[in-house]
Amino acid sequence: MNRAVVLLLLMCGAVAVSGCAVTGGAGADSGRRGFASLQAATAEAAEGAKGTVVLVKLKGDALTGDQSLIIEGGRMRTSEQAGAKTATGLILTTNGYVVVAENINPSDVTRVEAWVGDTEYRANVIKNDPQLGITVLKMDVDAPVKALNIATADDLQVGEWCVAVQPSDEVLDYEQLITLAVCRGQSAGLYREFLLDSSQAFRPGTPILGLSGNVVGIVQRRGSVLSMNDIRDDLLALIEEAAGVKSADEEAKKKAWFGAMLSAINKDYARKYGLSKSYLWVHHVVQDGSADSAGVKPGDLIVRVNGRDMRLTDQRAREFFNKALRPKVGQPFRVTVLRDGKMLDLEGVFTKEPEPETVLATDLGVTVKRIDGSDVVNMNLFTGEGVLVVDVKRGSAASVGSNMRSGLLNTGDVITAVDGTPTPDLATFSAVLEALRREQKEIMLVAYRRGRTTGLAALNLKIGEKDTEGGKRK
Amino acid sequence: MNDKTQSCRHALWFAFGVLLVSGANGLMAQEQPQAQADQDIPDAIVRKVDPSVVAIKHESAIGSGFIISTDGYILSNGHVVRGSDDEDPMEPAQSITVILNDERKFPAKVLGFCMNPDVALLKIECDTPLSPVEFADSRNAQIGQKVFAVGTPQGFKRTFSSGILSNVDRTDLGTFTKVIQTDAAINPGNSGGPLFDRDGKVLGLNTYASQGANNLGFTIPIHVAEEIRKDLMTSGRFIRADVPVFSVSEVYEEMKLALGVERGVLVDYVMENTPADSAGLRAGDVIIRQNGQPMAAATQAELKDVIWALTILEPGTPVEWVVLRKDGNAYKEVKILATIQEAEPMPGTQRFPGELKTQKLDAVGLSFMDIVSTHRIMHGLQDDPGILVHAAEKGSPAEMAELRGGDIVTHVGGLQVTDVASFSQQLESLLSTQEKYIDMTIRRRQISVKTVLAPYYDLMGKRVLVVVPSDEPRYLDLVRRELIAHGAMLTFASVSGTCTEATLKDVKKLSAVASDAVDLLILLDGGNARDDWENETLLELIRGVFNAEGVLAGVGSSVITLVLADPGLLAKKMTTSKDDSSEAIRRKALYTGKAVEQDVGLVTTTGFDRKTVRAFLKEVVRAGSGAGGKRASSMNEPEAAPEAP
Repeated sequence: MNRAVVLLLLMCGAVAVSGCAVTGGAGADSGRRGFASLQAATAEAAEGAKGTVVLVKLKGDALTGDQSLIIEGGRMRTSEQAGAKTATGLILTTNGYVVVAENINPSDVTRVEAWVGDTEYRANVIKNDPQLGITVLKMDVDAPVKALNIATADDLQVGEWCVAVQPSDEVLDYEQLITLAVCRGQSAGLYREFLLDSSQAFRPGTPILGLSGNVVGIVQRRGSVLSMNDIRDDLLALIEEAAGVKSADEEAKKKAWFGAMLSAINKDYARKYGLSKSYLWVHHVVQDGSADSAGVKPGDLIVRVNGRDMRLTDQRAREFFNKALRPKVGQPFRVTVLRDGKMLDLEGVFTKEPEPETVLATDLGVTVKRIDGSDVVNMNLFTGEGVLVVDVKRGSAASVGSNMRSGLLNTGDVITAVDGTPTPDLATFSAVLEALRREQKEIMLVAYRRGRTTGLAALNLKIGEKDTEGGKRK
Repeated sequence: MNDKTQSCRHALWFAFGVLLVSGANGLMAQEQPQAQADQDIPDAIVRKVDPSVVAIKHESAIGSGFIISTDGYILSNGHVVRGSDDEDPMEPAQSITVILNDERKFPAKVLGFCMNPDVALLKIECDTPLSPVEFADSRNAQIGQKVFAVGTPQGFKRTFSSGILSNVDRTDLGTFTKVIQTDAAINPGNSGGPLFDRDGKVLGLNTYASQGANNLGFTIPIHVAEEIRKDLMTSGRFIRADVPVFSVSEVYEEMKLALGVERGVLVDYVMENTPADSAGLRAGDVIIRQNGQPMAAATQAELKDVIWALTILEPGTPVEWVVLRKDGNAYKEVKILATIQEAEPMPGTQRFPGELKTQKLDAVGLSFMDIVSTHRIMHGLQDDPGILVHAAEKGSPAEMAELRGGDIVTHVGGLQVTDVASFSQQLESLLSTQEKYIDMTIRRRQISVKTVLAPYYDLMGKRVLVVVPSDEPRYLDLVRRELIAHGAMLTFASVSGTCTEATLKDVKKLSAVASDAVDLLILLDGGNARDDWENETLLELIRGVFNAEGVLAGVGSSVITLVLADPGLLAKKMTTSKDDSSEAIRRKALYTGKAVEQDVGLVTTTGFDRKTVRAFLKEVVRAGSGAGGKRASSMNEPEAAPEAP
């Protein structure tokens, strides 16, 4: 059954209601037809998911959890048992990767069984993502198995019907347990969540199918349903990582950067100008960063990211953006921005964030850092032409000024010249120092920028120990 | 000109107390008339200085001071006489009393004060000549010399304590000038009191003490105080001279060697586009002469003296500096000509409240101020013109607009604003038309932010009549600004239809106002408010508003008028100014004496200070937002529906 059928069904319903008062007979007839369609759609959807829902039994001393389902007056309850746990899994690949909508630590598990109907597979916990609350298992399969197609996922609308498909177990002895449910509401978290009229009764991991037969979501722990369209990319990425198709290169993940300063749009501003409250302002774009190379400009409003409309507000909108952006070195990204009233689609590829580079100048007693594009904005520097003091060693030449409570140089100062030679970058700074060391100078004149102001400091190089690190305060 | 001294981080408190000790007078020993041979301070000296030292008390603090003339001029510290107005740091306390050593009490007037250096000049009116102190030459104070302090530590009047001068060149307190350090006990309450030399001549004003330490007291040299006194006497404020904006530092030993100059004062920084910049002064210059005289500082103490010498020049004085400037490897002498001008007001810091007024608009929860160049240096602000946000109150429209302290508001409603005046004017014009969303552009450090202020307009649609006395209405501007920002439909009236307040353009004659056109009636205090107590037109108007269940509010003396209008009002809780409280009691009003009193439909205040009036306005808005009573509801009610047949 396809989406057209569902639409037809709903329209029939509408006709039935409005037409009721006029011609009773025709209305009843179309109502019956509609109801028949509903039944057919439900059965078809359930059939489609058959064989892709797994009953997972986990054993391990640290586990406690639901052992079995007991049906009691139509509602399901679970009993708890220490050392064992059951969960509902979904087969997402034909080679047996299964996702479970619970966070299960692989080290807690000693044995895993995966039951698909009457067939038992041995399985292993491969990877868990505590933030998503998802765990990936791998079943040992000899031949390809049926997998749920999440690529065609639909979105559930409030008021729409859907089908929950749950696995059976020995206690229940149902081959498959399906429940017809209505979507009662939708909330916009980091991922959209649907609330079903009976979702509290569904175990985490239960797939929810629309009447079109496409999967719409997966039940999570709190009883709400995560939108499959929203978590699909994360699920697939997790499976890819688990399968080793792409290595979980945490380093690459960390170092990839967007290179822009963003903040949420003010809500009243959004109201006044009819904009979404979820948009993000771009305040600053770091030169040669990923955002810069994609053509993002300060003043842009971010509307969409990687094909997903911006959602949520304030800090959570930024979280959403970061999540949806999936920064990984070498990965492409797409953002849609609103610039001068026009929507612009911008594409870029994540580059590696430059490593911070520092130099310890022991004779001066300071550690200095190369100034990156983001430092200028983040630290409100009034020049980028210099090296940034990130540490002043106690007892060093730089730390002893005429006032006992402050040194000649402070953290946050930008050294712009040494003995009259400009030091616009770290390499020049090191070279200038080296040259001066060869001259065995006893006093060094350091020009610096401190906030808006400028200053000169004459450092007495006889002061302070040069050899030992981490001098202690006397 | 500034020195580059870092503000020191150690805790330092002002040596004044906050009414800690009550009934302390009872503990005081009686004067001992007979001299004793082993007295450290000779009896003649004690008797000479004792009548010159006074205790000072006002609504929020106690301190000390000393008489400098027979006709009642008194020196003290700025922080002793300063009020607690958080909008105007230069507002003195409201009710200051000076107590002489013979227990005579006088109300005192503050002629002016300055917070850094911390000096105040007061005046009392006394029929008999008073006994002034003599000044010592504090420039020649010596370390080790015997000194004694007199003052009111912790409220103990006429406390003598003695010690020596511990240092005479103290520069690392972050004060504008050098201060003298002594180990004579200086405690809270000693502030503003004198430090005498062994001859009973004043060396300085005891001002600070170091917290958590023993006997580290600090005294402002009397020669510094005397310079400030002159200005306070003639202009009511200390006029600091400057050629803005540059900073200097001393040429210390290493600097001398590094620069290859013998002596001078090093120019660290010259702000772009300032008089110092256009005079041709450059960072790195070494000033060696000022007006033909050698100018040099090798230590911070010398630097403070150099700066002080410049600071006390008359604005308008031409100044000629000769500076050494690098020319290749050698130095050449360059002449710089500039004119001394008055320094801009100092912004507040953690320790000093500064001299700049903060403008507050409670209705939107915003406080803001003009930007001075010191702000730009202190907070690393960009050059954008605008106003500086001081704070945005929690839960207010300003906070909703995400305004933060340190932001520069550059545009309001699409128009550039450059200072508090243009900002207020632009904002007010938008508020007066109850603009739902007000565009603002902000410069926050290096980024630009667009936002929208959405005021609450708590008094939207409310017809508010403010009745002012015809001369010198108090708090008029404050009340007007807040009511407009609350979205009130504002009308002003006075009994005569006139008002001396120039900013008030349109004042109606009271007789031209109909009471049924008023939801909220506010009576302001001022010059001749008492004349209106029995004014029948006003009483009639009040009765009208009262009977229609409108809200009535009054400040100070005018509250008497309110309660006289109707026996129903006389039965409500009220408050009024202290001066009028006996009148309230005589008329059998329910006077409670609170700063702000609130009963159903009646809000009153003493009108003591700006803070009180703001608290009063808050209550007025709360009461007024529901005002309109019978009339408003009957106006909104639809026509009675015809009954169903």
